Amino acid sequence: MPNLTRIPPEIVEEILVLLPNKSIHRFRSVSRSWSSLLVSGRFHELRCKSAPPETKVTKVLHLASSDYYIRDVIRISDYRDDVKPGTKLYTPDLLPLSNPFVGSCNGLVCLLLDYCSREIVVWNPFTGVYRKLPNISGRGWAYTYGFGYVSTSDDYKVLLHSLVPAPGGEPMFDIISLKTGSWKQVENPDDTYQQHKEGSGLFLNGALHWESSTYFDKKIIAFDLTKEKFYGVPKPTPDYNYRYHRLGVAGEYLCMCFLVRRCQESNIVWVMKEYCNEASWVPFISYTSFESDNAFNYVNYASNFVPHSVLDGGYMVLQYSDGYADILTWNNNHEESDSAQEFFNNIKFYRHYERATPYKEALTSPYASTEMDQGF
Amino acid sequence: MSITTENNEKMITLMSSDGEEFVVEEAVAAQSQTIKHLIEDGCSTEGSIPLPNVTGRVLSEVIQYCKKHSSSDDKEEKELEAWDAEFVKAADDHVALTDLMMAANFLDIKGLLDLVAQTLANMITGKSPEEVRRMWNIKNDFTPEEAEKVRKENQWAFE
Repeated sequence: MPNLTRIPPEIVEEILVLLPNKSIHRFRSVSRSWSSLLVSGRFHELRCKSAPPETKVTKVLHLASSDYYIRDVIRISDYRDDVKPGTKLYTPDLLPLSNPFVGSCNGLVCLLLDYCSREIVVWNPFTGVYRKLPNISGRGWAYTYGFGYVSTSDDYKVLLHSLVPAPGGEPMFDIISLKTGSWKQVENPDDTYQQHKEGSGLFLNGALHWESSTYFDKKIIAFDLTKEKFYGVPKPTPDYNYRYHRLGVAGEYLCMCFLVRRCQESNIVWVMKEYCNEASWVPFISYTSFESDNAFNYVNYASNFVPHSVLDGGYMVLQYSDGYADILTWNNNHEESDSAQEFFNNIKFYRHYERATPYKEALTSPYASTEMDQGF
Repeated sequence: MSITTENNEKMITLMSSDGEEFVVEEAVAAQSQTIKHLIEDGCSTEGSIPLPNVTGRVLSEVIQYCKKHSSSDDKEEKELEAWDAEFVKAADDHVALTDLMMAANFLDIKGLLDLVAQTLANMITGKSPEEVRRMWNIKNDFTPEEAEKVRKENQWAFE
């Protein structure tokens, strides 16, 4: 056959985004350029837009007694029993910490396996491919960290911050891009940004987000992964008293969960409908604390949880402080409401109470960005 | 040249890469964003619009699609879907479909592009990498070591 059918790359993309996972996986063997296209973050984002149902599958990665388990959120009725033998396969061969989850996006999960030597792994639990990042030691205890995707450069970045300085050193911010594969220091920002809350930054809108613990109280602290600059995001201002609040992500929105004591303890979750617009904060849902019948018997079980992510099909992952997570079901028709919805009646916790992070199944590779340079 | 029909429809002439001319209603041709912009920029006033990337055979198919889709309204969605299915079936094989898709891409006709993309996607879903390479003349440029590495990474999915 004459060479009439050579296919230009932009046409290939339009076709391949429509394929199911299995075909995409198989077609990585077609050629080098197909291989690097199919595992790129950019391709993953294109796929999510054209939305074959598989890209909507969210899994939850659990950590239970030093093994990783994957639970399927879609079949939530079987949630408890959904740990299959075999899901422990493809685990990074490294002993995890009690809470190793730095974050997840585009199907990749970032794990911090040692707070001191800062052993960091970026792992795709679906394909089993993982990549150990170069060690960065001598920086003291990693205190604040985050993982996110930079769409403009089709790259991922990990940010680490030590509040406790290394001996003789200063507290500093280090950042690594998966494309360059090497660490660099971010210019020491204004003092006001140093008092982060401990832990993992929430990834949304190309930036990591933390609640500030002290000075910068009126704002949420954000770090733009593209510009590598800090900035402030306005907080909601409810007209009632609350005991404390915690930051979360509800779907595409940043959310803030307020613990309110009325006749009983309630959590009221606000969402910011338009990013960085203070006036766009609205009450979204609320849930009431209730007595738990599980072994932990937290009287205010719900009050310690904030939304981590809202999943398709009416499920929400809630995160407890220290990275413990659980999933609840909820009634999904709240989006257009301007007042907080009570959804206590629909609430159903699954009470695994393990360290966990949700992630989307994807074929993205932690090596994707560098494969071109390596001629692969 | 600008001709007007008895319905007072403005007509324009499209010329394919192999010199074939097609006289179509402007409303039909304007489903192509590319042509629409050319018309807006006044490129259609002097003679026909040349489309150097599209052969006469492919252009006639594209026009068929645009005619059908400009005359139908939303109520006929079911019927239109059936027509679309027949239309891509008639395109016969992946070579014709790939040509059609490249034309849809160049002419910027979203509906047609999506339709053909989905058809081609369905066509290759179950194929082997070798079959796909043959379809589109893609060179297997992996070294044996790389091929082995990719195969290893993929193996789990087929267990």
